[in-house]
Amino acid sequence: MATLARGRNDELIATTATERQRPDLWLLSLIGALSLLGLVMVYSASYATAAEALGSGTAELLKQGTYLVIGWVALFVMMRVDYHVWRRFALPAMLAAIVLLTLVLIMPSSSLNDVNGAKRWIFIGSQGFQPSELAKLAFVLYLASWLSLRGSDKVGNLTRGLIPFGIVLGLVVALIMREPDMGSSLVFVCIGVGMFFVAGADLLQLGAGMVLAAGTFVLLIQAASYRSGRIDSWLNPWSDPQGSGYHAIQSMVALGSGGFFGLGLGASRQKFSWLPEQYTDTIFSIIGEELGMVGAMLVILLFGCLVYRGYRVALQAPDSFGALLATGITSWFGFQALINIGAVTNSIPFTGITLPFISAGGSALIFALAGAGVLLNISKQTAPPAANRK
Amino acid sequence: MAAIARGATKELRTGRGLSPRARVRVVFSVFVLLALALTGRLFVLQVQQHADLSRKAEAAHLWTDTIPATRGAIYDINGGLLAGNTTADDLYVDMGKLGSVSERRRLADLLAPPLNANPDDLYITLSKVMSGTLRLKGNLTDDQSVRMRELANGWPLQLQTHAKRAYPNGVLLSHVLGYADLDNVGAYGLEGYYEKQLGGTPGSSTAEHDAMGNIIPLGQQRVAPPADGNDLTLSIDMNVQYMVERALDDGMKSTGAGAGQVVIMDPHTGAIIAMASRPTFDPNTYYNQPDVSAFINPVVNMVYEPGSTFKTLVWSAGLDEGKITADTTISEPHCAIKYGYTICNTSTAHYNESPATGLAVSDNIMAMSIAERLGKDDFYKYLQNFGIGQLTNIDLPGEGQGLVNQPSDAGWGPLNLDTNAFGQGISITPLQLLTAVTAVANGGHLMQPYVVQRITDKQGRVVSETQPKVVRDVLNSATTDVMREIMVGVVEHGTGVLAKTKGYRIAAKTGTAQVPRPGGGYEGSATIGSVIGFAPADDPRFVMIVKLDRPQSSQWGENTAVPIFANIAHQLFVYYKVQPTDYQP
Repeated sequence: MATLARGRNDELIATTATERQRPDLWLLSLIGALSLLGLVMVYSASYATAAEALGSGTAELLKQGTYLVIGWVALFVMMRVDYHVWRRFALPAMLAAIVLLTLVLIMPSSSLNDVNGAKRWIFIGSQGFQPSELAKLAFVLYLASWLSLRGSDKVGNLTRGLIPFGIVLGLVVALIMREPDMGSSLVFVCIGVGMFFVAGADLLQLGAGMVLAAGTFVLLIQAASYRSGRIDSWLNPWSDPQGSGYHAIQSMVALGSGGFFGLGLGASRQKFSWLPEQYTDTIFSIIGEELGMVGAMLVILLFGCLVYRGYRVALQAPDSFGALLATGITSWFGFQALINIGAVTNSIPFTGITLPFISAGGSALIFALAGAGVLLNISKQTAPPAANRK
Repeated sequence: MAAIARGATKELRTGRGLSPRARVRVVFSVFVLLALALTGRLFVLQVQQHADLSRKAEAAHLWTDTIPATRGAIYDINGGLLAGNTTADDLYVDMGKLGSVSERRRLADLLAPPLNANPDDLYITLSKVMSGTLRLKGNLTDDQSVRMRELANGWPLQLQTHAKRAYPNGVLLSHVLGYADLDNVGAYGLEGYYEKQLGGTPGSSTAEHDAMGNIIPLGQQRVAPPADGNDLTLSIDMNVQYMVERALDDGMKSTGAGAGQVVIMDPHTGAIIAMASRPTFDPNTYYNQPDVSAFINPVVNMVYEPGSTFKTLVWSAGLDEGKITADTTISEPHCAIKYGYTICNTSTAHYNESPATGLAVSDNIMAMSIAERLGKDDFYKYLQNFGIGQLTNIDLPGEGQGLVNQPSDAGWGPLNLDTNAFGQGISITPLQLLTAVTAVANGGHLMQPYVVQRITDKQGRVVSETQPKVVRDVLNSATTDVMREIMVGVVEHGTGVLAKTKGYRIAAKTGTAQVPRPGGGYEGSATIGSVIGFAPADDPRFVMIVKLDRPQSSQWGENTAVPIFANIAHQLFVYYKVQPTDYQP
């Protein structure tokens, strides 16, 4: 919180990327804890169906372990690279992300890229890759770069701030909604609006823009029957327990049967092919079933701490680029977790999205850990408030 | 770097309204508020609705499956397998996973050759449904199962294995066996009659399951094991049954008969040794039978007018009551007028004829004479004692009782006594007549016929063993001694001459019955040709009835049924190693 207030303090500390300030160890530990919890829960949630489908109960565990190793290597690499380096890649990365997001839509449909009727994947051989995961990092980087260059004066300006921002966000969201992937779209909105707000958005403009966006959203829902059907099945999942309400019901049944203390680690029943995506998108429900409300709240608390430390890095960042970058990355983790938990508790319409660091997954996990690496690099360059120094 | 930091702070601070620092706090607060809201939601789901959702989970996961009991096997007297168990696969298609039109077309073309189906028909079937599971074909052959398992790699095909009844001998003994249906429940024959013994008691498994129906290994499970069905060992001898069925098939072919039955019984015990009927069916593929009447066992379930074979009982009764003796001579005209009806013999008038000659030529007038000498009370008392018009209580389902009008019945008139004497105006089952004649063969004892010799459990312990049961003594042995000679005479120089066999004394009586019209009267030329008898006459090993419905080659039983009788008897002499009377070692 102190860095942004450092204007008051004229005593400057020379902090450079080369100077070996330690990264935020709290952040590092929290991400480590989430990764480990994820590994354990992926194993627990997957072994039954993996034994059936892949011939080995540890198949998903090994995959997740491999991705974690790659992801943590990425994290440490990113942690060592001065985040300012990325600024010059902001635009190319954003363009590349948009190209890939377009590509995923126009690629011919096949059983490979079409998972559950949604086209979210690009396959290279049998290895899938989700462009939307790359796009999150690229989007945060691009917005941080663009907003920090523009400065808060221009950000607060309608034609030079809100409208260009609205176009960029709208384009990305529109592409992802076409996959369709409502959950990821919502994450982009949260990241974008959060960064734009912190960058100095005019509140009236932002309010008006959000009303406009909400109106468009309502129109979109009414335009497509599958979207409005989704709202209906959200409000009353029990009306079609075998069809549109199935995901939400199985997820709530998992959480509910877990109770306060849970059935015990490994003792989930719902993971035995009742709950779909039980080690990816709905892994939180298995945590709730096995470890109870205690375990579920621990996960929320871990994310709460992570987000607190992340925004703290933003406040202490040495420049507005770093501050916005840290804000974006932190919002990404925090709000994606909220959307995931909101979906599996049927607090919002059901949407398939991973729980960062915990859900099994390749691209999601690796890009999240890479993003965490960037955040940690910013934390290495923070200037702690004078009051805290000796 | 410090300069940048200070610059950044300035940039952000010049924003209108809230300071950047406060803005980050706002974003963090939004996160905290939402996280608290979700915590509240978790409380609702995991604490408030815990009991309800746990119940719902249990209702979905926990159910009771039936563990089918293994159906008991059926063996012949020598331990040969007549009915056993195997498995068969049913083919299902997961229609939801089946893709585009061209994919459905391709699958139809792939499946058609092994399933012997028309690819176009198959394609139509596969195109009708877009979701759910479709049962495409039941009871695949072994070759089909193998091929389908290959195709299941890559196609959404599922094979479900279930127990299936198998009858290794096909049509052999089918009417006696009946069949077990696709749910393995017995129908008709022994399968139906002994369903409780054969079927056993299914067990149950109450367990938590996954969505595919597999049991969750760590969940709770309560198992009540099934009690398997008991095995039946029949009195039927498969070798004899085979001989009989082949002889019946040959005989039907040469006579052009529409239907036929043969039953062979052990005259001393009532044990059925063979029981065959034509037309028949294959219990393995009972479902291909368009008409369920094919499953009815005519020997036990259907009644007919016995005709002249019935005279055996009338002669026996007359001798037993002393109304006639071997030496009695009776003179009768060619025809007699009874109550306005003229009844004739097939041959000419007979004078000073002995009972032996009368039976050998099947004299209707003598039959009436004997019946009248007995009088209605004794005549019907003997029929009653022979079990005519009563159930034999054989262990087969749906036994027919037949009908004999008694003098006390409204429908009875004095003419009945005369016509009944030569087997008209009464209806009985072939088994009833055979059982009655068994008393003539074995010295006068009416036996209860049976098919199941022994019931054993799966461990081989005997649950029950059938003991021969004398229902009542009907005739004196002196009567049966005379009857034996009279019936041997039928074969030696009477209507049964086609069964005459050098070295063996065979006792028999033929019959040619007219076929009653449903509305009354008789059909023109259609007959039922039959023969009933036993051999060797002095120590009978078997008693046999052969009955042919509507033979075409001749309307007379002596020309159609007797050769079949003789054919089987000759084989049985060899099979039972019966020494010929002129045998000299």
